[in-house]
Amino acid sequence: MTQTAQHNSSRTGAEEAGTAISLRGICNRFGSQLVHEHLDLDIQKGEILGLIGGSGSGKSVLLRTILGLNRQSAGSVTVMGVNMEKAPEKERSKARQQWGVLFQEGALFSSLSVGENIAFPLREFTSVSQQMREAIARMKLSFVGLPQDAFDKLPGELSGGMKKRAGLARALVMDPAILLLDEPTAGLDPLSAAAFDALLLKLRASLNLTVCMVTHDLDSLYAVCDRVAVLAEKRIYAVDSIDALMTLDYPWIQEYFTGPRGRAARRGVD
Amino acid sequence: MTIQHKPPAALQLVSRSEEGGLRLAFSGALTLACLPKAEGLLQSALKPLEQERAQGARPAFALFDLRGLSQLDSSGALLLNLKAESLRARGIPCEYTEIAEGHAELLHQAALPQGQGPAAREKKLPFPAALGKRVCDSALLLASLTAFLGSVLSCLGGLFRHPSRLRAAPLIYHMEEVGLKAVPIVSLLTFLIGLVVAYMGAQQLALFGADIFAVNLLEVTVLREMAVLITAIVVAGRSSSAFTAQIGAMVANQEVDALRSMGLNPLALLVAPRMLALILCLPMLVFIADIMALFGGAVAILFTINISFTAFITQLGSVAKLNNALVGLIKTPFFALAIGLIGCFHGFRATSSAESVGFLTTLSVVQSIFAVIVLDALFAIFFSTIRM
Repeated sequence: MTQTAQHNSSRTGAEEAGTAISLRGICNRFGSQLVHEHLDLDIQKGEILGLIGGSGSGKSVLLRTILGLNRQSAGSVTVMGVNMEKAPEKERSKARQQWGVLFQEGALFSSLSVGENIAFPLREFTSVSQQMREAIARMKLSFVGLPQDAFDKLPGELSGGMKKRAGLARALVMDPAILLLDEPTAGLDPLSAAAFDALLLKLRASLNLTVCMVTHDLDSLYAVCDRVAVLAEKRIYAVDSIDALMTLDYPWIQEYFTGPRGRAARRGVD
Repeated sequence: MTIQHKPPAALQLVSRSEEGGLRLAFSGALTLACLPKAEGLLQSALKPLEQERAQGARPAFALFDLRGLSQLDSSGALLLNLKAESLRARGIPCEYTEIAEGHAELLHQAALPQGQGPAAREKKLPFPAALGKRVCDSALLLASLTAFLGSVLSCLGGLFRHPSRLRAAPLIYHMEEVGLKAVPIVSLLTFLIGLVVAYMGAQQLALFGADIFAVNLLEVTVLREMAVLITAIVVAGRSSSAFTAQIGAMVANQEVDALRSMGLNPLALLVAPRMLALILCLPMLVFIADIMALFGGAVAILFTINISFTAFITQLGSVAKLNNALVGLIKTPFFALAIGLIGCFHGFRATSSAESVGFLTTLSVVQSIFAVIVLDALFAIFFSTIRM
């Protein structure tokens, strides 16, 4: 009970230490292939955490495990103090409303217009009036930098980058405490990707968000992430700031940050 | 830390008149969860202002006192901003005071974009205009279907002149998919139809003692209409949907664009083998269907009016004219053309969304079955006119 009460006060603006999401001893197994083995990870409230790892290291599987889309073989997921396996359904559903998720391609409902997509969670979970729903949806639309004429378009009529932004607006519409992003800048042009980074920082500042993003975008990592979690050898090999990670003697991390692209991104920051 | 064990305080709103103006003191949480309540509270709190205005007095100001506000989210901030703006629009100055730290940024961010009136939605057309639009849309669709028929026929004609351009592998693949794999279902269905037609016929004709004529009835009904129609409907359901889904997925995945950019003709590569496979297979399927339907009829007649297979065949031989079977078979290439054309046509209409493929697949099944039945009716009129 203490733990559930914590998230209520966590958004009063007063920053307090605490974990938003905590993974303990996660194992994921597909057939004979072991993807994660005794994986632990804590995401602190108010931080932006980047999740990196080689292809096939199970970043997306980990994200799906947090979301409950993939049932782990062992271990526990705790979101805002709610154990996502053992807690009663009512509490788990409440915890699920605490997060917003942006899938890789936006995952907009193709039969609804962009505006209806954004207002969809409001319609399902609140009793806000139609007029206010539209106002909130329009605010979120401009929040993520989309023009207002996108409001009545169908997702099929949007470009890839616009779909992502619309997906982000939908993820943000309930003012979630946690934002989970799967490759938010993949497939965006550099300008849009930079705008996305700026947007993320702005959101964190005004909404006090906790963000966990799977990303391969080195610029993004340098620009927005407070800490970076490295997924290697079936577990979280290290979680730290990039500078601290670079002192580690692990070949993959060294190559990742000191390869040509890593150096270029670093120069961009300096 | 005692607060932590309490749920957030409920929203409260106290309004006080003050030097000709109104001070609205908020306390508690103004978040999405209590937005409807907040709207109601604001509405009733602002009523005095409205009344003053109605009496011609000009209220001095409205003041939103946010000191007691423990929680605010972007939706709550938007509500406040909207209310403040609507007050200002009516000439009542409206200000915030005592904004808590951390809420200021939210209030600043939570705004509707400037100049955003009610949505410029597509207006619903009045009835006659809507009807006219539908008719025009249908006519345009029919026109483009006709154009598609033209280009497919010219493509097939080109293949006749240069048969070496025909690719054998896809043709045979599609013949297997469209023809061979449809044999079991077509056989079963037409067997059952033959059974039913003969059974019902025999029962009715037995009332007149003319039960042997059940064979004649069976022969006419089945060979002329039923076997063809059932086969064509099954094939329309199986193949036109498959064509739309396959080609639609390729269009959505830009595969068709890739073909075009290589200078290849998608009609020759994708449509021609499918159309040819259908045109070649449907007559064969109908032939099988004819035999199965007659067999089904023979079984029914054996069990109801006790006419043996040999007697059945003798009777059939004495009444059967080549006519009926031919009438049935002549129709098949036209049905095949209609089914394949509609299936492929809708495939090319797909857009990049996955939803459009699903929608078009349904549409192509319905339309191709419709086309088969309409064509069949036209053929019935045609054949009765030429007394065949």
